[in-house]
Amino acid sequence: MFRKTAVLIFINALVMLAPPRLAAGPDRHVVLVSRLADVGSANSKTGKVKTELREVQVEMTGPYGKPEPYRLFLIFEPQSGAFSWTISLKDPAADLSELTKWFKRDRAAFLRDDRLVTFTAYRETLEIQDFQGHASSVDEAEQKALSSAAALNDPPGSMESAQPFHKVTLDGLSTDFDCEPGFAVCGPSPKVIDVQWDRVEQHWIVTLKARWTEEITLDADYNVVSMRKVE
Amino acid sequence: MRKPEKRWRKAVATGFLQAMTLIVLISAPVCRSQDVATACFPTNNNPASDGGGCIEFDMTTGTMPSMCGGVMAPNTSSTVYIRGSFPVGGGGGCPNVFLYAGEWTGLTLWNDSGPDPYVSLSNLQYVSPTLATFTLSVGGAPPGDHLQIQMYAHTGWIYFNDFMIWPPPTPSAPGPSQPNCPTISLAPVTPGSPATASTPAVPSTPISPNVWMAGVDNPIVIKGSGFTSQAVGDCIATLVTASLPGGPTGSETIPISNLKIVDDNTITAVVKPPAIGTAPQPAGQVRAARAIAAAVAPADSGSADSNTTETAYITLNGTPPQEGDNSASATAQIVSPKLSITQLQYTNSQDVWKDDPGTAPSAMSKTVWPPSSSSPSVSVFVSEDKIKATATFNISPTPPVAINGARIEGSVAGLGLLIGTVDIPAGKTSVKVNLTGDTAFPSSTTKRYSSLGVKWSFSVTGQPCSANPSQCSAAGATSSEVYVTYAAPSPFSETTMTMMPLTAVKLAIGDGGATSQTEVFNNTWQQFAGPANVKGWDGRSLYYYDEGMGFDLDSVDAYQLLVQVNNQGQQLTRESGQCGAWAHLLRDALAVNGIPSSFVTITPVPGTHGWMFINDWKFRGPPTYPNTAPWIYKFLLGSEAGGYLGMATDPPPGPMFGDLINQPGIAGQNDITPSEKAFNFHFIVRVDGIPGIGGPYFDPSYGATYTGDCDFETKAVAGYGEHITGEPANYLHVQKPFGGCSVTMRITN
Repeated sequence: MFRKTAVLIFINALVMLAPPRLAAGPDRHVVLVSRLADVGSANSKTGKVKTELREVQVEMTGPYGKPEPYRLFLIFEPQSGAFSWTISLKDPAADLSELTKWFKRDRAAFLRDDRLVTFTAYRETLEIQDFQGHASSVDEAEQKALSSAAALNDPPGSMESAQPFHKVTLDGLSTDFDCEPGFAVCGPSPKVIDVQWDRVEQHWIVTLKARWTEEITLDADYNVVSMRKVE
Repeated sequence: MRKPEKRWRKAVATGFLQAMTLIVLISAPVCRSQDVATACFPTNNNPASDGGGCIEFDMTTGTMPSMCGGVMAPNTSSTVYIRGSFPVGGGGGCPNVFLYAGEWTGLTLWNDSGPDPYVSLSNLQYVSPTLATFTLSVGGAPPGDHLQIQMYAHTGWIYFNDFMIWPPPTPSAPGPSQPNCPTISLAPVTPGSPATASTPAVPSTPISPNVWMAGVDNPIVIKGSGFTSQAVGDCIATLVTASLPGGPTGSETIPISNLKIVDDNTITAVVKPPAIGTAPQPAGQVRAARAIAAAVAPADSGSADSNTTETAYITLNGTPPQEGDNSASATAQIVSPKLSITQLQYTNSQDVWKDDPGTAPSAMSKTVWPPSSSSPSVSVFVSEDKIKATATFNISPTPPVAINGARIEGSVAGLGLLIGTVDIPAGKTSVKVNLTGDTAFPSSTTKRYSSLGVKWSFSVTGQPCSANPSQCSAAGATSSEVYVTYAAPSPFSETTMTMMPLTAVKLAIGDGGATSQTEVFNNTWQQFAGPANVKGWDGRSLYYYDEGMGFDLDSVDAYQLLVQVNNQGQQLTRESGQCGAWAHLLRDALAVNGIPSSFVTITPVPGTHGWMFINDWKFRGPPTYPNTAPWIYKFLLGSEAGGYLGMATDPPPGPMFGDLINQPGIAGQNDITPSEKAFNFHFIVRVDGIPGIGGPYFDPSYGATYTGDCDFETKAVAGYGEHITGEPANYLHVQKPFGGCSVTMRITN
């Protein structure tokens, strides 16, 4: 009896101490937790257009098969119905509006040919999301985004790496652009302060602001054409 | 003042002597009526008006001569002249003159048949039928003693004179002049001096009373008339002396030179009292010691006065007996100017900035004495330097005459002398002199003198004090802190560090004594290694990411660290610096000794996009991103002031940073767990050619050494981080080191 109990305890201990098993297979489990709505803007060939912003906290199956908090950030342009979204694990301590504020502060979007293209800068890299989603309303856009995210969550917990981004390395930009010489860290992070599409030249003109302002010219495939220091 | 009893005794003694004389005279032949004698004495150290004049006594009158009292100094001799028809050389009916001299201190002494202990008469000569001379010598009689000289002939007692033995009193005016001798007087010293490049002329204003200066030629001027008309053999100055009264030998003769008849009315001479040296004086120099300030003559300080008195006498001796003698004297106060140092500057010391929080670089005053009570100056020299200095001295009493070529010496223990010469105009109350050391600091050796003492001396004669110590007087002492570098300092790597900070000097030299580049480096490095918890020159702690201090509040270079400002120039509450500030501080300390070094930037591979986490961190499991191996851990940075991402947010986020938990690990300077441990860059120093100490990479922030990138990773790195695409910049993926030496070390300046 004693021996049997000891063996059972040992086996349970092994189970408890072992790393949790990773979940496998697609998971459609999505539970809405909270929703934050806001408005923003995007550039277009006719000037600035109004966008609707949503930051939605949901519960989805995490990498170990358990429900985990995720956050979906959605940009919706009502006139064209174009929308763009990202989803990622939410840190428990993170502000519910962290991504909304980040978008308004550091990022920029351009409505081109009914597609919303978002531009984000990190150090000397441009992260570009060119998304072809369309919906008749922001609610429908949210549903479509969550469905797509659920489909991407295969295996669960791998959505960040599964989302398509164009990463453009700005080799011609020195680290001094956002790194104060002598500082052990870089910062503040560069902001995308303007994006324009040159229809004649078929070029993107992205303006970044860090320690100085740099204008980046990209071709339609997001290859760097030129860079110049503006001020 | 004689007591009445002594007067009574004297009267009894005199009466007794006269009675005895009368007995002798009764049996003696009667002398001729022309037996009239004149005695002139004494002629030395005795003004004419005080018994030195010729006194005539006519025996026929039978009256007593007046008691023309005189004064003779101890240990002197005088020639006494006896003039008249009486002295006939032992013939002519009048017997020889008898002379008797005795100490008149009481009746009993008159009966003393032995040699008088103090007084003697000798060399009685009959020069002519009307002139005799003898020498009167007074020994070391106690001051105040009385002497009486009596002269007898066979006809009886004809003359006596009463002397008091006493150091020469203040001379009175010359007595009645002899018709053939000029009347003379000594004019006050005229100490004027011409202008020099640095001092204005001092007008030739006579000093009254006369003041002579010890050790210096002092002019005296003798006024009279008819000097040049004197025929040879007539009244000429034959005796010019100056004496220092008192002392064990009674007087000390002072040389008088350059006696010249300038014109019909003037004779000039130069008197040179001895220089008065430093205490303690030998026994025979007690009075000399008294002549200088009490402060330097402790043995005699109780009654010390600042000067003493000298008297110079000049006597014009006519051809005896017709011309007679005239004499004059001048008494002067002898001063021995004492120098006392009031200010000292080391003029060739390096420009050093006494770094303090909130102060811009400004060269420390090179005035090391007097020390500032709040912030004494520190001097920095380079090995093989010879000290150059400027010193200012107060002079008291002021010199009555110019002192040309005076020598100032500063004796520096183990470092020879600081030597300067200076002309001091008369009347100056202070003097500034430039000095140069005669001995260089040792070659290629660091030194620290916590208190480099200098003993100052003043030689009025210009002679080295070692050659003639008694001619030197103390002129005070100074001390100050001095550092000596191994070699000439190199330029600092920071443009803002425009001047050598004292903290870098302290870190560079420590207690000194290094004689090779390796020892020099080790002395410096040991003040960082460990970490050693580096202190500023004044003992204040310098921190590496002190608690609560984020990137915006930590200095970026050593200059900012030392003045306690951040990169925007804002004043901080503590002197806390990033690794760059510490790397610069080490480089600056090495530059003080001229040791080359390089600034090294460490970045995670693949380059500038990565993060590294410095030990120690606990990795919480299971990792948040198991699907993005090897970057499986999540790290969340906080937002800091200035837009920086870091750990020292306000309020602090606690030990949890995503999947990583902050743990104590590698301590920083004065900080067991620095407030920032996640970096894009780390800055250290490379020093080559220093065997046996580690390196060549030296990390002053942590006091650690590394052989290269792998060694750095092994010792310092807990993990590497990468940004998560699509997330804000503060979200990182982290992996533990896997032995790939995933950093690069680049020399960046």
